[in-house]
Amino acid sequence: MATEPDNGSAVDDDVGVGTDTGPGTGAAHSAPNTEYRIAHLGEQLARGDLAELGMRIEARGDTVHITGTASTAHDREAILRIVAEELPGVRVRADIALADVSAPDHSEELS
Amino acid sequence: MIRVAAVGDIHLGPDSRGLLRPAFDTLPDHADLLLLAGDLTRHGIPEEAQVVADEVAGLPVPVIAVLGNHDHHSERPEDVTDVLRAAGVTVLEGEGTVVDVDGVRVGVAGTKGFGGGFAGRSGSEFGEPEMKAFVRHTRGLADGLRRALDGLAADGCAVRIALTHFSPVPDTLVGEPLEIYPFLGSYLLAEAMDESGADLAVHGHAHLGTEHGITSGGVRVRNVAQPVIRRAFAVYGLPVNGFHDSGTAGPATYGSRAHGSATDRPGTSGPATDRPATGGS
Repeated sequence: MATEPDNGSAVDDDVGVGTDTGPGTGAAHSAPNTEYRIAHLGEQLARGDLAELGMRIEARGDTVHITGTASTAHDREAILRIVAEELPGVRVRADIALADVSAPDHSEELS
Repeated sequence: MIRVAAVGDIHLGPDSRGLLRPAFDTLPDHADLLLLAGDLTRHGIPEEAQVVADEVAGLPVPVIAVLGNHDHHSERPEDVTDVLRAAGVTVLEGEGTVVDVDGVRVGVAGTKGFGGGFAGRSGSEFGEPEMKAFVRHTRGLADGLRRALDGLAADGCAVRIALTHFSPVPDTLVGEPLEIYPFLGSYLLAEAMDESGADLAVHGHAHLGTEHGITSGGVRVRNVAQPVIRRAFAVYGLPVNGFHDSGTAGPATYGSRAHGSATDRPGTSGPATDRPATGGS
């Protein structure tokens, strides 16, 4: 994780790009690098109790978009909780569906 | 017509106990056998495997499984396998099994499979030991699948199905980021299927992928990862074009173990390299 304090804004972060503010170096960023934070979030989801590797996490403009399918509502809540912990101050849009565990209503006949 | 039910990537744990059983209880209405395409657990521990075992225990259709990368995560695939087998599940790795469906011998050959990429965009057994081991692992498992399919053919199976966790083709990965395709499957699996022949290939692993695909040799491929099929299981009807045999209905096993190879024993399939933390699982 980046160690710089988050600027607390959900809308004016330079998502995945960064703004050079270092004195003459052109290397330092004012805000944590969202690209790396997304990568760390993915690692966190995989390594934790959820062992969740099925989420697609991508920067879309100033928003981080998360899509995937969670096994249960409990899992979805847990994922969103970890996302909030890992990406404070970042606008997140999550489209996490719940797995459908119903029996199929049709089959596919292969010729 | 042989009715094959299949699902992968159910990722069960203690908090999902009983989730799939109501749907599984309807299986006799839908299918002649149930295939489980790996990633049955989250961390690959016996406690999670017991949840899986309880979900399928006592079902009136044969249940045949391969393990996935999640089932290897705790490096206890033998323990996971033992728990599943105790519940009557046939767990395959480089082996085949025969199910008698109304006198028709239906063969299922299974391997976890592994990554490496697809023709023209794949890794090679070259360079660092880790890279060579990565590709060699896939090649060994694909060879086991080929031997198992050959064994089923020699045994006169009228229908043969290849069951894997990793994908044999890129078709069924559409929806996943292109960059991670090499971590989602390998053409070596498809090559084995095409060389030995199969009537259907079933896999999981790619949660964001696509259900339908085909190998270059014409084997139909179905990605049955639960997030892809969006139900407890999918059902495929396979015509019986070959010969019928009303012979023994008992379980028979073919493949690498039957052929004396020590490289592809169930549950000992090498490095537990996981896939990247994006996309499916």
